[in-house]
Amino acid sequence: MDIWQVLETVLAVVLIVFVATGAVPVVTAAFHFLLVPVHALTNHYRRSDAYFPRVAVIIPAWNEGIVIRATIERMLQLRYPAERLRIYVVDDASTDDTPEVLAELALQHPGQVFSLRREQGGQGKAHTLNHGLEIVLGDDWAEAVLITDADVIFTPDSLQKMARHLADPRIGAVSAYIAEGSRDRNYMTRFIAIEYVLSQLAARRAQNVLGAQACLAGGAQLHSRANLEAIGGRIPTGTLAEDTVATFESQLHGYRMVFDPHAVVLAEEPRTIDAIWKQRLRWARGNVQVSWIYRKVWFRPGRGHHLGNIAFGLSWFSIFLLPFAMVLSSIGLIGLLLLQSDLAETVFRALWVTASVCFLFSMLVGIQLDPRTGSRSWREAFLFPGLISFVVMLAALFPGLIDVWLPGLFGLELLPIGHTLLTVFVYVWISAAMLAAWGTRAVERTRAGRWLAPLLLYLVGYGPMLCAITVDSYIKEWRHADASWIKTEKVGRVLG
Amino acid sequence: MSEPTRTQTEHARQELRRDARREWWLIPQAVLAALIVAGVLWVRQAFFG
Repeated sequence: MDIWQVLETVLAVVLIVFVATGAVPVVTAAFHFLLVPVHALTNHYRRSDAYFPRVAVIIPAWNEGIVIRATIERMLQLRYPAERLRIYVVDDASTDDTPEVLAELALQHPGQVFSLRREQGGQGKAHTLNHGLEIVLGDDWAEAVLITDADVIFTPDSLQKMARHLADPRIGAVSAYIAEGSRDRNYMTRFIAIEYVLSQLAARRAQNVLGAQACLAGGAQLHSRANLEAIGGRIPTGTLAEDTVATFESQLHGYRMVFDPHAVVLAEEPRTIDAIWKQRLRWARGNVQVSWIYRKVWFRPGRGHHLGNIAFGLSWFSIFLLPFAMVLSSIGLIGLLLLQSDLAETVFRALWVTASVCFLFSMLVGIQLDPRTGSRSWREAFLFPGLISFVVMLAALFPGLIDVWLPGLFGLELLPIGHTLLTVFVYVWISAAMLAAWGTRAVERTRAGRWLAPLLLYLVGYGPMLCAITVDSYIKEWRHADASWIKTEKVGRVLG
Repeated sequence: MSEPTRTQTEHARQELRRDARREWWLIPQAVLAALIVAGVLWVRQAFFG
């Protein structure tokens, strides 16, 4: 074997490793979906009991006049002892009719609804929450604090179902399933609905099994008083992910976090690509900050908490670094194509068959977890990675189906040049999908965007759009771009 | 401060037992998903292998 052959072999191995990185996120996701049925055996229900602590609800509000009344009125109808529930709305210097609505509600429900006003607002949610926490923890009435958002509607049993876990003093906080609850759904809310099934009902059950939660949803966090006091009685400020930081801090102080999939709350979600981009960019930038802040926690098991678990770290970074994995995968495939096209074909098929099997299993488990959402959003579930990627999966799973059988149906035959172009397109698409998602956002801003953008999103995929947002977050963090809090616009569409 | 009524406590315990039982459905759901995936792989092997 001469030196060139050795170099070629080494290069081929490196390129195969590149391609294999593309499989890590899907395999990690499938592993977590395999943990979902384990939740039947390993859950916190055995250690829970009927428990009704005195709960202070803190709702940060800025210009929430449209939604705040319905939120508070639904909360007052919760199946929870009325004398054990107080609602504190922290008005963050609203300029609409929020103060008037709150004053009216406080008058109607004395001793139950309290309006707290910050005259100078706009510092972000964590600061607003801390204003409320200072008052709530200032006396000893509250045994637990529920942190929620002004547009979140709690279903009647939800608080009771969350509180039962606090009967176990080791539990510091509990989160609920935040379901997409818009009255008039569109393509985007259906995608978000299925995403929440996957990221909450599946992933957070798996995290319950692993003993570490990545993030208790900011719209439904029930903390024990002891837990809040352990983390200093305030939500850490200085990041765009105050809910994730609070979740991490609580676990680092030795408390366990629990997700209850049967405690359901409804939230209004963005309806356009631009709106979701802004919301998720904030979340993704928050995750970049969290990844850095807790750099000494990752992959270091056995320190009194489970955040250092290998499986938990893999789960976090397989999402955080997904765009890198996709780009490396494309580079690997194109490199192999130039080096040894037969090997490229074999590696491509192995990658996509693995990805397809993991994806299919994950989606089939996912749509069963919330049958109502599953029946409404099954198309969005299967087109989550986009129609193009779905066709690529079919091509990988069923060799010849797309390039031979389908053209054959119309009496056509793919020429060698067509086959080569198709191969290059498919290899590049893994990462090009992210660029295409960026383009879809740009198209939405044009006159034809209203009808064209949804079609393009189905084609390109919701998953690649989330990856593109992650890339945008890297760029924004790298440039230290303005990190001021941009509120997601809510208009009160949640099912009341 | 009044205590929760016996009815409220009993209702909460019933809900707790019911939700714990509902978690057992996760196992057949995962098995069904695995069987469908196995079926797809069998079709691949049998007709496109």
